[in-house]
Amino acid sequence: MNIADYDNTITNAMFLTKVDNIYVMLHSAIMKRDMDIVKHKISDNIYNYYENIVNDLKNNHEIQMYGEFNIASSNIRNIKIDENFIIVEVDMLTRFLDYVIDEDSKKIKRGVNDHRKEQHDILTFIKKIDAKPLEPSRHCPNCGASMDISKTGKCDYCNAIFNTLDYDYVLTKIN
Amino acid sequence: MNYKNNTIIKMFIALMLLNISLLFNMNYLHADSGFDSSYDSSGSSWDSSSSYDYSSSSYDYDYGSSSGGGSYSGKHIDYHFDGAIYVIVSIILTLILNSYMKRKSIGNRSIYLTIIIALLYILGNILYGSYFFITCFSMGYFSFLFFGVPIIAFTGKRTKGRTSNFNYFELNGKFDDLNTNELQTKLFNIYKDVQIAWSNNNLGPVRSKLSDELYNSYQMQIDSLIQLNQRNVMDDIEFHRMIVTNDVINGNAEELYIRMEVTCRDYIVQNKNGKEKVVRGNPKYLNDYIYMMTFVRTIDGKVDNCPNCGAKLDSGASSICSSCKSVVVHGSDNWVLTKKKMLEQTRR
Repeated sequence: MNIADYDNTITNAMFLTKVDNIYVMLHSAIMKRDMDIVKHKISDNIYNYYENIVNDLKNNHEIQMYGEFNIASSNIRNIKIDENFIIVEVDMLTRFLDYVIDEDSKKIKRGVNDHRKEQHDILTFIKKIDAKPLEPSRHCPNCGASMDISKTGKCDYCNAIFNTLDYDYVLTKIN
Repeated sequence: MNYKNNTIIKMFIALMLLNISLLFNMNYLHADSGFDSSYDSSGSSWDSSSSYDYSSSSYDYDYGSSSGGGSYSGKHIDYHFDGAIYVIVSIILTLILNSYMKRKSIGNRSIYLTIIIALLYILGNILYGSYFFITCFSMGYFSFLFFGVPIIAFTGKRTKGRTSNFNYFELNGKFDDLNTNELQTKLFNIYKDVQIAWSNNNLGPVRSKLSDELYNSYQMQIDSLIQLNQRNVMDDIEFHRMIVTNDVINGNAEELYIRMEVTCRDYIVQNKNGKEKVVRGNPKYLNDYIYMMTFVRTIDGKVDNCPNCGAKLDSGASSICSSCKSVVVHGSDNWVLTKKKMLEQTRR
């Protein structure tokens, strides 16, 4: 499927690179126990779901580790358009070490760190049909500071969150 | 040579070696920027399931109905027919066991299966005598070849993304700024520089050679390595072959799809008390990697000056303005790596 047929601002390769980056950011945010890093790239329900997981980890003084994280393959599975959004489904196959360590002792509490598990997900992304073009230089909607939204959506100065949905694809569902 | 022929030939060779390798642990441990390759001992050159899982099944016999004692003089055994059935049943049982272990994320599957096969052989020898080995090995060997290999070759799981037949473009003058050899050298050097930066846990030197997203993805993965006091070393990187599989112009960007074959050493070290110790992989071995990479360059609409202050920007797809420190994603008229996917990995 060719996403350029639905959205002429992006190619399949560029879209899948974006998808890979969002997925890595999501897992990185879980490891760092700070979901605000990726909040701008995910929907509220996904954010709330993982925020609860992160809060549990913090309460138990645990850190979730995703080692040797690799996206083995990502492919566009389906594209459709409704009244307001372009909706894209992606097949994602990832391999990573999945284990939990104690925050203080760094000892493994759950999982294994000697072989990677393989995970298959179906991710759903949406973009507004009337999305504005992303400017080369991105700025905080609150204070105007420069932001690197591929790295984090939270402003380093005022902690406001960049609203990606007005400009670009956002992850709304993980199966 | 197509994929299926490769699989059958490799399984044939693997089966011939199995009787030697029964007592040895065949560990494959690999790595890569972006962790494209696998350190799992159950990882194979083609897939997460090892070819040795299938080949070891040829020795998983069930001789419950055979005669006991040290010889077969008491009962007649139809070695041709019974041997083939035993092998097919063994293959099915091995596939079930392999699938179960994969679902439970049990590592070292090939080791467990090899040990099981060896124990069954020993048990068979105890029950039926040493003639068991000679007979069932030879019958099982050939039965597996004619029954098991086609079953596995045509029903086994394939690694996604493998290309056995593909069209490739002769570059000859296709890119007006570089000839074939120059482009080949340039793209390989991008790959090599990225791997070296990855090895040093420092992507700063290669930011201009990576797309914005890929740079940040790799940086996040390096952050997790730093957290564990680890680094993924890749050295002795050598180029073997490169083929352009596609060249696409989309809007103001040109995308080049490259199949690249390289060799390198690949392992992870951890720093403990100032000394680095290997924790995954093996620096003694060279690995053959085949990648599918995507390089992108901006044809039109590239931003040369900072939109905030007007200062000249560095080369690369994104950069931090040296004057006002704004992060600017501006595209590049040089090739930048935007995607790297492992197609095949083999340890020498």
